[in-house]
Amino acid sequence: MSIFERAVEKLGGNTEQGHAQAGKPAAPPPGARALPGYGPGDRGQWGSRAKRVQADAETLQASGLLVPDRWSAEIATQFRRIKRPLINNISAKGRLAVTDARCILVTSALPGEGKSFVACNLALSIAQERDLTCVLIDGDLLSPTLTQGLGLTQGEGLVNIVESETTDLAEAIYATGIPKLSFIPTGPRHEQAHELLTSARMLRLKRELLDRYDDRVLVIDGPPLLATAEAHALTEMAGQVVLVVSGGDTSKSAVKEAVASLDRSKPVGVVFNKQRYAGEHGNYGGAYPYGQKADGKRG
Amino acid sequence: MNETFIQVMRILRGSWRFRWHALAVAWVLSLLGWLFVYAMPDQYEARAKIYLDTQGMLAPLLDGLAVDTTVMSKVEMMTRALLSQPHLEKVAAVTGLDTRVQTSEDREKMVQNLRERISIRGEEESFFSIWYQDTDRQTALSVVDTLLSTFVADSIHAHKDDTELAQGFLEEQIHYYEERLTEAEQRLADFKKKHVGLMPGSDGDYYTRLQTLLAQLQETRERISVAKRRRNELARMIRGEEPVFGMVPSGTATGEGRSSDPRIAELEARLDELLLNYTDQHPDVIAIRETIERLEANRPAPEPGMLTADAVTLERNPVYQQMKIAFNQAELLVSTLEAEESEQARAVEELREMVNTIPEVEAKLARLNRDYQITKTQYEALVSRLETARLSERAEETSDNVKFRIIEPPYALNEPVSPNRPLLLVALLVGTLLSGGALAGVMNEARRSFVDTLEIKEEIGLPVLGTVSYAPAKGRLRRERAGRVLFYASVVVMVTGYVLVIVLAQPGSEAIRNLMAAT
Repeated sequence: MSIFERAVEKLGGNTEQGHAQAGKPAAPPPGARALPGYGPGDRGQWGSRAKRVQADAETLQASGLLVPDRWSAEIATQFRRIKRPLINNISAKGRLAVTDARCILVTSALPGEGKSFVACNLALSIAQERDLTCVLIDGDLLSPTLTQGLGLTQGEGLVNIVESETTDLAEAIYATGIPKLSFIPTGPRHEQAHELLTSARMLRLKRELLDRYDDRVLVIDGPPLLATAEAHALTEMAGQVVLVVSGGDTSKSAVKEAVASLDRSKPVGVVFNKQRYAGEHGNYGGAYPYGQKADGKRG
Repeated sequence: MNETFIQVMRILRGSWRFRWHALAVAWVLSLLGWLFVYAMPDQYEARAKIYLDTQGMLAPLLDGLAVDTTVMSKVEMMTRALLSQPHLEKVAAVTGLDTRVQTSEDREKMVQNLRERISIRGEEESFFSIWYQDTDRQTALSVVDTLLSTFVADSIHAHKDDTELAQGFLEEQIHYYEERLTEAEQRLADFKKKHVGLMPGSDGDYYTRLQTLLAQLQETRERISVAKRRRNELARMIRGEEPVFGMVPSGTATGEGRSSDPRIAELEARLDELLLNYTDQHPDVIAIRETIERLEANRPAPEPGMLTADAVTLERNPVYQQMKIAFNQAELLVSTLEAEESEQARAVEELREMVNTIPEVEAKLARLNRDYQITKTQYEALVSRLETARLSERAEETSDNVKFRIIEPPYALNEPVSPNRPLLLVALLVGTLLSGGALAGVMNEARRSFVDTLEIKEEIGLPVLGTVSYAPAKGRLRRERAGRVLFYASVVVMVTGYVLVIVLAQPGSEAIRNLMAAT
């Protein structure tokens, strides 16, 4: 239990401990490191009814959802750029009004292109926005990388909510250690994952999540478009689609095929992932480092 | 950034994904290639260079093979003549190549193979070089050597036949003409013997002789008449029909008549002469007169009674004696001449009688002579030609105007001429690298992926929100680095391998070949 939590408890506030259920994750360990690049963690923001999962640097880095420290500044910069158009659409700064712009699906053509990574980092980046909160949903029921990365494979999640009307949303939402960022894991394995994700209940869930708070952004880590059928359903559900393309890896034809299946009436943006070559966007100029490092040096 | 550059970079980046495939291919090809290059048999080359007047030398040779030499190039002629079946078979026999074949089909094939492998090249006009390559140096040398010597022997033979034929012909002709000449000579001799009296002497043929004889006759007759006239005159003088000085009786001294003493007569004659020119007062005249007087004083005085000239006195008269002698001589001359005349007349008559025969004979003789001459001329001409032929044959052998000469005798280099292993190995290196690269490129083409956002924008048409750098975990990074090091090390090893293989080309290949021969 952290100092703050103790303080809150003393003030009579309900902490997570008070509502802890059997088998639920423990309290965050004291002195956990803040996520680099994403600012200090504010542990005073725990929701009283939310469960908690500690998203710390080590676990995330170990699971590949966060980059090693040496790159963290660079990646943070890149994601700031990536989220901009998405947020513009939310605040209607783009030319056209977008329905459900706050529901963002992250998908790709084939597995292994880095959807979970992008979804995680995008969510982290969005959570930094002053005016927004973010709920990261692991919608990849067959390959729940995010859930595994955060160690919540045993917990309840999306499947539970969608399957049974009676399951409380609060049971499936987890507070992370990062302010304004919550997480919904996939839940247990289910043979009818496809049907679940395409059901009306799923849509109602989305509606509920979006309508509760108007500063809430959903970032859904979806399954690959070509590998599953429900990905398409999710793209229909989402207001904005982010297509992750792995550089130098996925074949063009696969990507094109995936793109062809998308509904172009909603905004679809491409994130070019795993770019190995120097230069802006992997194009053929030099990199443009900017700003001063913490020790005062330029670069 | 220009378009081409971007395209090239895309291809390179894309192909880099398949570098391990490329490397694997390069290694496999290299290993195979090394083995192959090492196992290649050495080729030794033998060659010779000759000078050949194709028209003079080969045309006769080829005539026998029923080839039209006018339309063939010199090299073709050379090839046909040199690489004829008998030649090649001889070569195969001598070099031992024919021990490898059994059936006649195989032999045919072998000869054909030889024919294709022996190469004849024409250089400048009339210079040819013969080349042959074989895995065994000795065989190569032997082939070229045998081929050349066979050809030389053949052509000399042919040439000799030719000249022998020509000379034999000449000799035959000479013999024939010799016989005819002998016959002609014999006929001539017989003829001469038969008509020995009728043969024209040094005075020419029949008509000339006749003319000569007639002329002589004429001359003789003229001489006869002259002689006769003189005789008659002398006769008259003797008979006293004509006055002759000195016949006057000595008693009668009429004037300054001459004395009967010959000395005095002489002196008197001289006196007469002098008096023609000089007067009496001339000392010579006076002298002579005194001499005469003295002589007359010494002379016994003539006896009286010698006034008449009688026969005895006459007989003792020197003048008369002289005249008598002269007369006799004239008589003799006339009779001699007359005898000659009659002789000559007879000869003329004889000759005239042979008016038909002699010309005939002479004509025949002339004909025989002409025949003889002709035969002789022809004979001599033939002999001269034979001599010329022999001379020119000798001259051909020694002079520079030869039809055939070996410029460079057959030789084979001690080192094999091929294969050029280092070159092949370098080419192999380049080839394998290119193949590897090509494979990577092809694989890239088959599985194109996006390597930059421009491509995405171009080909998909969706907006690019941004790029995320490749940021692997430490372990992953280390592994990737190790992989890269391994890759480059592998390339270096391969290149080093090539260097080694090239350096050891000669001994290495020998070793490999021995190994292969042993297995």
